[in-house]
Amino acid sequence: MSATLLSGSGHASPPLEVILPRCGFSRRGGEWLRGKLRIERHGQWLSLTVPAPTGEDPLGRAGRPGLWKHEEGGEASRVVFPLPVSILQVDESADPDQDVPLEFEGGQSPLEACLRWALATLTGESPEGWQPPGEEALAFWKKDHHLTVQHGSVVRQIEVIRAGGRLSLRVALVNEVPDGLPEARAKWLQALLLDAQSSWHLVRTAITAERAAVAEVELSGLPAAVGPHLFRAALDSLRWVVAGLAETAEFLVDPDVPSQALELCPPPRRSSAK
Amino acid sequence: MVKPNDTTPGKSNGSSKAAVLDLEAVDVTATHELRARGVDRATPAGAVAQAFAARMALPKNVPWTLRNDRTGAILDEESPIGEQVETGSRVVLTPKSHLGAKA
Repeated sequence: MSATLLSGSGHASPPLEVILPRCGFSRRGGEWLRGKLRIERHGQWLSLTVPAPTGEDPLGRAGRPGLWKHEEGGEASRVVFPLPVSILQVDESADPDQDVPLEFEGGQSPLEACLRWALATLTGESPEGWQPPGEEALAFWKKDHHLTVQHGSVVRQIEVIRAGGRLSLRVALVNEVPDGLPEARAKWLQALLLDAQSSWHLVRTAITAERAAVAEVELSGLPAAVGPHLFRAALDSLRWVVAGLAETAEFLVDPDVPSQALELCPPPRRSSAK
Repeated sequence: MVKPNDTTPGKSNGSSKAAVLDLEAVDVTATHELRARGVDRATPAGAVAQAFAARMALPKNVPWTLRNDRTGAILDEESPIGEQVETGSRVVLTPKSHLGAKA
């Protein structure tokens, strides 16, 4: 697969064959690899993947910088850093044989900046020297993108966390998971959160120390080249997650709603992503 | 018929219980009543009103607003609900009405 990237001004930027080697990837058997890291393209998403550490808590990555998240499904668990191709400005119609690789105006292309972001946060740390955008920039990014999600009887407020060198979007699916939640119900809730995390690109889920079931998109280290686009994509992702799952999650943790079906073990997970 | 109901419209993402409200809500005819736990203080009152109306199965094509039952004040739908009522408050769900022709 080959693709050419366009800069914001429409000039061609280096194709994948130029950018990936600069980031330490090499082509082996038709795949781009860097150690255990692998780059995959599925539809409109480009993902960096690496096998999940043995015994990792699949919901235990909340709060860690970057988009890395645990996914289950298929043959083995893995950790994934998903990127929407739309923000990387891939020109699908470009003929790779006709394009002349050019340097991207102003330094790194969006793809290269995102790859370096992914590599920097793989160890759980923000890129050195990175600072979250200022309030003015955030206000522009949020323009016309509401933080309130009202879907039927569900209403949630997406919180923008910008403190301590961190930028994150977080929303509660369930505000308080009861301490005495029956084991089967707890497993159903965990299955729901795992499914959401594996199904929705960008979104991580967790049960916090305050016993809230939350969905988040961790943008710490976000490159300026894709800042507003990915921020808005993250907001939209959380809105869809709330609309799709909040009511179900509330139902699962409501002790006043008896259900014999929920006394059974959850079914096996599906692995498709949205 | 008054039908008690519970709803949990969310709190500030699990970070602090002080960032949420517990409310009692009743529609203007006192036909429906609900208790809302963990309403995020930052949520605009208008969004909370629409969610309450949906939970009470009230008409969707009506713009709803909230009134503080203790003070009688109509809540500003654009402002955070936490700036307008305290936890434990009782609010009345009221259809927005316009007297006379639209300006």
